Amino acid sequence: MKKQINLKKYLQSGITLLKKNEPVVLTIIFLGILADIFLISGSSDPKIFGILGLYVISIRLYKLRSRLTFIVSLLLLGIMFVEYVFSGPSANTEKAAVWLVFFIAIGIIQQWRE
Amino acid sequence: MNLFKTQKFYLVIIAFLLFALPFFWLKPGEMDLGGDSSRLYFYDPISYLKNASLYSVVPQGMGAIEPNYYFLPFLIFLIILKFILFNSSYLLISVFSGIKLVLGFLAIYWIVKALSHRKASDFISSCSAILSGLLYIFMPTMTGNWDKALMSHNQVFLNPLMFYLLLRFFITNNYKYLWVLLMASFIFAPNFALTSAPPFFAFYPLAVLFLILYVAVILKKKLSWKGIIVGSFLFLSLQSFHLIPQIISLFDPGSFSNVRVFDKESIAHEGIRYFIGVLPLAKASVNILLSTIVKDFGWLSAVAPLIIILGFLLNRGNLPAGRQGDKIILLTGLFFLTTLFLLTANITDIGVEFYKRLFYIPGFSMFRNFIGQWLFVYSFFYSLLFGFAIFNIFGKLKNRSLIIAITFLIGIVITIPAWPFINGSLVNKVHSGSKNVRIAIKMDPNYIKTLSFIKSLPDDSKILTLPFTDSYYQVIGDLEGGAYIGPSTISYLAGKKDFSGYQIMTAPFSEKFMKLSREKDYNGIKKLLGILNIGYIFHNSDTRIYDDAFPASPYTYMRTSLPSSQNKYSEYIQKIGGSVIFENGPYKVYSVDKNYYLPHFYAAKDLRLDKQELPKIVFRKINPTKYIITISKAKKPYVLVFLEAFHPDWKIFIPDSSLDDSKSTFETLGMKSLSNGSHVLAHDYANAWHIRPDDVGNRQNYTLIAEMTGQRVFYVSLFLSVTIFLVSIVWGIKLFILKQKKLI
Repeated sequence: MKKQINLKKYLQSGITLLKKNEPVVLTIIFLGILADIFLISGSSDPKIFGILGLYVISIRLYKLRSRLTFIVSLLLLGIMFVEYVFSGPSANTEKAAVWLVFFIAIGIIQQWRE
Repeated sequence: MNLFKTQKFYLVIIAFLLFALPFFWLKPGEMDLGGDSSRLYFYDPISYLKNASLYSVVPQGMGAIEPNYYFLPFLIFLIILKFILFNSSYLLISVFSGIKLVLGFLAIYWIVKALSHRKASDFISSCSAILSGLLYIFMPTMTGNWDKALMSHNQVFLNPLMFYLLLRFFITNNYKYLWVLLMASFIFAPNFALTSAPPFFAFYPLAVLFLILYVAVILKKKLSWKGIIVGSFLFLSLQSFHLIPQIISLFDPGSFSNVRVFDKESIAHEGIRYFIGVLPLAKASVNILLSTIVKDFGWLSAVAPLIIILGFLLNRGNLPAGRQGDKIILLTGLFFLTTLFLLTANITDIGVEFYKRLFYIPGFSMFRNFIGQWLFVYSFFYSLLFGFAIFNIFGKLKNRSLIIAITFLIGIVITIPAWPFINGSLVNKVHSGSKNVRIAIKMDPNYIKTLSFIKSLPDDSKILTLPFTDSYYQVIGDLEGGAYIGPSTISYLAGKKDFSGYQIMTAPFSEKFMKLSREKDYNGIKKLLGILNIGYIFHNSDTRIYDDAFPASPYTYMRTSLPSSQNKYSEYIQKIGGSVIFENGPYKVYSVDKNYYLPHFYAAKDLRLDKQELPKIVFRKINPTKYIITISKAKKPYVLVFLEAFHPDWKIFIPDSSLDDSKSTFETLGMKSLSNGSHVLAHDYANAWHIRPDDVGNRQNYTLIAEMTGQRVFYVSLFLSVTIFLVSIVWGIKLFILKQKKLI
């Protein structure tokens, strides 16, 4: 019983912390995406789904609009295109493409619900 | 003056230009007939119908059983069209390509217009629909593979056309749309046959789901289930002439389709392993960017995805005619992403693992070449999404002139990368591996005469076509530097079974043929030709189809064992063949050494018995699935050998009295036949039956009928299809003419 109360408490304080630090959280998400594309090599499923999960939580917490998601998609398209022009369909290009696909999917679902 | 201001004027101009385009790809008189399945039906649809579509026996090689009945209505359509077009194959090919382009473009135009149209925004919906249609038709997916196009390439226009007709039917409940859809599906039956299952199942389930969601969720209308049930029944009945025989073949243990669909080993081998092999080629970025083949204009590939994302950004509440239409772009977006995943597979490791699991669903292994199978569907949803996105962008613009200017600009941006397609260089290509030999040909008059001669040869024998190719191709040169490479014209046009390559002779015999040739064992080759019922050798000694002109494909593997030049081939044939019986230009027909030749039907000694006197056998071919065999002086048991590919449906029937000719199609129904136990494999590929005197009522002179009983299923299902077709024609007259008169 005590443990449950503690867990709830931690969750609430975690959410409060997240709520108070919107710019920091969003910066972490975007830097995380850039790091995954440019710096981290190899399979990155846990990172991708971790960051996407954080972004979905952010949408609920900060009431983010689909507009932001599509703006990020636009940036990801730019990154993917530049990578494609210079290195063809390389690993980095493909990672940008995967991120783009997920952001378009999130944007569509968001817009449907708005 | 007003005419120039209407969107219809520009639509007609674009449609006319698209229709005219293929007339410049080939020179008058030229044809592009080659490829894996060939387009010999453009050259001679009547012979193609007779030899490749009416009977289940494959016209090539050993005569395996593979029903291709689905070609029937399409070939009849081509025969009529060719007759209208002054019997010109060039015109037929050009008109057919033109129809594909125009219908592909118009159908996408109509869909975008129907889904985005509001009275207040008719102008912008027309502009968006035109651009969407242009993007679709000029996408790399659509501009590729026009040379050597398979029947599945008809997806270019069939997918959007069928989608549009279904859409109109779902929205209006007007049966005229359903009728047109049914007739189009009947004519293009090859695209709805089991052999076309991958493109069919890739597109239609998704298309129908999209339309149901659109009508039920977005329009919030009730679906006409009655219409859907009637339509499905008529569709299946119309297609029954090929579907029923193919479904039976599907459940025939060991058949090609049965193994592909149900055999676990085959699923693992041909499904997942093939999928893993193709996987590295699948690139999400390439699919999203629609990368152009014109390298100088690579930057243009970002335009379409950029417009799509801008379209999403400007979607909500930005439509000039209210918000009703905004969910259509979202629905299309979801289908776009679904097909992108199915096309790419390579989206996260979890995605790949999930995809692999799908192959354990019976039949899913048909998507093992997932890139090829999903590309058309993806391109379709991509174009629609592009159309709705640009509609949203135009909705933000107030200035009509600006919209026109942007439409022209984007139209040019879409068209430029397709320039190699527009000017025909993507269509009239050079054969890969050849020295500047083009795929367009004018049929050599000498070869036409040779084909006529081959047609006149007795039905008894098969033909060996040389030079021998690696696959099942035959190569024919023309007088202007082109060459046909595709399935044998001797089989499909002259109706004589021939062995033109390694795959047709099939592996154990091909390997033996190669080994004997390497070892210069000419007697061994003669024996092998005899076993395969080869009575003639056709040698195309044209150096432009061998020697230096084709240093590699399609002869790479065969050159390791067979003669390396035409001169050496001539010497080789002298050693394995008999005498020349026909010669015209580079084309020669030889008869083989009769000492080694085995007829199509012959009596062999029953090895279980000692001294035997073999009966005399004479046979008459009624059609490729039925022969009447006259036996005389059969005093003892013997083995009747039939040199065609073994199949349990080949049966020997025993009529009570002697026959000279076939009395009726179903005369063998209820007739006594030899037991299945007497049917055995001969020479490792052919049919043979042990026949004892008591099997035939102890007669010495009698008649037998050899029949491929599977063919009966076709006759019955054809009757059903034709009946429903005639009913549909009457229904169409009522729908289009009688109701029209009532309105007047």
